[in-house]
Amino acid sequence: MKKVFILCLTAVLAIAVQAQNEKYVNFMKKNIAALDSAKSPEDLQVSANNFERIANTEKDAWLPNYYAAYAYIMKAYFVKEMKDIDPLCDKADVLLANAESLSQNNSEIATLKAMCLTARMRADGSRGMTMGPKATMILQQALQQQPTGNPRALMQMAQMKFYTPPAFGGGKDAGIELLKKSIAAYDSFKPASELDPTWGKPYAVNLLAQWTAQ
Amino acid sequence: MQTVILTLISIFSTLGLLAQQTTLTGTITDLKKRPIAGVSVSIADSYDGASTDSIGRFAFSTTDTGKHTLLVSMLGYKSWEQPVELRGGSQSFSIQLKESPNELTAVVITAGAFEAGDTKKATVLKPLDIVTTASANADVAAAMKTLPGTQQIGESAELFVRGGEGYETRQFIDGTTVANPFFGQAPNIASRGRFSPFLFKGTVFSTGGYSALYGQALSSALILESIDLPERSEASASFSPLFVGAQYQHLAKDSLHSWGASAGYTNVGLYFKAVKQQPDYFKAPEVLNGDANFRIKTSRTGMLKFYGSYAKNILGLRNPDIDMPVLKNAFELNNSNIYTNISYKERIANRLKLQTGFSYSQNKDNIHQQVQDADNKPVQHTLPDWVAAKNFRLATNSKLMQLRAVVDYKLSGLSAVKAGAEYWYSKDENQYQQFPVAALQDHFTAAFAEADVYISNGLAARAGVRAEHSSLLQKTNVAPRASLAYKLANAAQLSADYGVFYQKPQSHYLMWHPRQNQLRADHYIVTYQKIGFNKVFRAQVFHKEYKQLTKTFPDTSSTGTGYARGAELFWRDKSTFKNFDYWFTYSYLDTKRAYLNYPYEMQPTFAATHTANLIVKRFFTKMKTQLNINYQFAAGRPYYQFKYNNGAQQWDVLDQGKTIAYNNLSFSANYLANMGKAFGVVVLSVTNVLNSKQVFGYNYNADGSNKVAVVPPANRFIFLGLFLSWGTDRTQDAINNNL
Repeated sequence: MKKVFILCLTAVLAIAVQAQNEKYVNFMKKNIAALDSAKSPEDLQVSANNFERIANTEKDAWLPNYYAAYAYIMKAYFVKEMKDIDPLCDKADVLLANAESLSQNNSEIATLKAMCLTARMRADGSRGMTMGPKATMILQQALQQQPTGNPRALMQMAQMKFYTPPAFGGGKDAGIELLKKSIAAYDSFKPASELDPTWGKPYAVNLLAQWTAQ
Repeated sequence: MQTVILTLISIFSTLGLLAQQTTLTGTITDLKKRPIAGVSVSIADSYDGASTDSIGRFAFSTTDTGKHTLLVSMLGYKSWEQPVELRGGSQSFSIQLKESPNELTAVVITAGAFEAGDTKKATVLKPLDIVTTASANADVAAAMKTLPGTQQIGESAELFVRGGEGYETRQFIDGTTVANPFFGQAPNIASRGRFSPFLFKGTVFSTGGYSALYGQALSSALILESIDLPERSEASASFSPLFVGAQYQHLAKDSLHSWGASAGYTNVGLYFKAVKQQPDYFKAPEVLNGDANFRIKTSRTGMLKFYGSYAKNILGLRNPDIDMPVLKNAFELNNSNIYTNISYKERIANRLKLQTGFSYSQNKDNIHQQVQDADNKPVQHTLPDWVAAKNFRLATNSKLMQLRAVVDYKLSGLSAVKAGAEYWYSKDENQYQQFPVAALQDHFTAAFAEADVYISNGLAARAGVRAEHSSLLQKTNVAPRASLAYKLANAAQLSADYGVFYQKPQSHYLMWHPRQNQLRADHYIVTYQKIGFNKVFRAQVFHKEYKQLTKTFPDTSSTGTGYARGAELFWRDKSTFKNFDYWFTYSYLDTKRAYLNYPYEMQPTFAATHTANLIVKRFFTKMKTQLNINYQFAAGRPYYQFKYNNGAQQWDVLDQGKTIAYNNLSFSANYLANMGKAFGVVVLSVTNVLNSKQVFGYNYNADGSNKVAVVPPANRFIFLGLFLSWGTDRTQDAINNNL
């Protein structure tokens, strides 16, 4: 009798845990899809809010923090008022620090950190001299952290190269070469889980078409 | 079996109960009832929630029941929360969010100061501006001379601010004061600052009304904050006909600590051979210097930093004797300087930060002056007493040790309270000819407290007080400080500052009369500023009252008085002209003082009524070159000939006038390029391109028959240098290996 009872109880608990996990996965999937199709700063804010909510509930998961930060950084690229950029990036940096405390040496997190710096440079061109090399350094770390090649880090690096004058080791050709490497890395990229980041390929392909047409 | 079924039923019915839905709806506005879009509304620790739409509405349902917390948050607003009881049905909310004061939108209390930094909003300069200002040649203080409130004093490296003398501006590194920020200098010939601008990540230049955290600066404070851990390991070297230098900086793999060292040697001899100098240099200025540092990140919030430097500089020059022009005065200076600074900061509790600092410096000057004949030989025959007095040896040895601790407690929002204490120990020993003069020792203590209160995003106040006691002067002084800042529309703000500032008289006046009062200046400043993203406009008016200045006649006493008042403008614009960045400053100054042997209140010789600067910078990407041009103008400064009137027993002004106006057009070009494996910068700079005549004042002989202009050693200064750096993390290799 007792055994049956315990068995039933474990079954119910297992179902509950499973349900919670399924709820997390479904919620994440839904919101990742929404984030991928976000078209305005408003959409991105909604995404950020949704992911932050999950992050506040699932305190051991780095991905909700990661995606919330990604939404804020994208918003920082979208906004028109330069003065709005820094607060968004400050927020993203806090979320990235959370994510990093839950998942160390993570190439995807490092990539976002570099993206965040690049967004800040947009706010003030004179920051390029100090933040540019820092962003490059973080991207190098990102590439070291994922020896098979992180396509998002490569795409970031490609953009940095493209906009760096040839005299400083950049230029159009160097940028295109890296972007091609990034697209190749996208093709062979296998995310660690179904929720891990996969974004960026359509953008990279589009960018390559633009750059080669120039 | 029945019980099992019953248990299962009860469990499932509980789950069923959970499925009961509560719908939450509402609107969110700001305090002015304007809707806010994108606000996050959620049940704490649950997935359930929503974001407001463009008219501030939200609606969502939750299956949670019982007592929960409703959380509302949005970037730029104070978070709002309220307990809710979820029991099905629907609930409606109308919520107003308060704007959260944040550094980016809030009014700035320290609007009176000029800040050079990367991150904060209130910055008008970037760290690189200090290096790329044409007239400055990478000297921090010289770069500050392009800001309003400063005088163009070509004969000194010091900063003369708003009618104040050079020593009235103090430099602070990580909170502690720097006793000798400049290399030893010959009379009326400017030297340079000891510290490279690359040591600092933040620079605050306050031309008055600054915080109670700083003291012993009557007019102005130049507050420097040293960098934390470097970005990466790096080796660098510099070459110029004037100097060579090498530096290495190592960042540990774990990025938790770093160390570095540098050494340099400067010899201006070669340059002086090529470019004729007015004085006859028998020893061209020569500097040997080295420094070392380490920085340790002691925890996530803790940082320990050490910096130490040693420098030795010598120079010797001859000028015609003013009284007997057939003779010459040969002046020789031997200076050595040690400076060390240790600072530690840590967050010791949630809202509580601690900052401590220790610094020690020792400065030794050996000065020898000799009257020489036409063949540069010591004069053998007997000289009149007043000429013979020009033969002297003076050795000074000054030590300063300082300890400081400040705690910073964060109140809500941006409001904070700071309090701290300092102890300074100083000892000055002089030897004149072969006679030691009694040593001057002071145990100086100070305590201070300051509160920053943000009443709202648009109104903030600061109140502070500083108490100081000097064992040497046997005096205690209390200095109140206060500021009020009010935000106007369109990123503009108005602020007012008041403060009482004390500074000990210079040590050579204390030698025989130690029981003087501290010099005192009362500052009143009103500032209007408007900071746009690429444009900054600032206008200031000020009034300064000087009291207790040192008088040397009829006795050494603290009875001097004076005032300074004026208006200043600053305008910087990075966006109107494409690729051009320029700033313009203008300062009007009306100042008089009765001090030293001035018989009445007179405009001091270091004060020009009008000063203006125009700085233009442009980076040519294709040429990889930044060009900088600046033009500095100052109206003529007064000069006086004083003569003691034996009959009336007073000092008379026998002659006076104003120098010609000061004009200085400077130019510099920085060419950046990868050179082999190094990143290189070539710097060419030329001051006074137009070769304008510059006169800083006049010296008189005893009877006034000989009047000699004080001029720079050479009208123009040309500098050419190459700076190379190698990042030892092999940046490019790392990328290539990874691809």
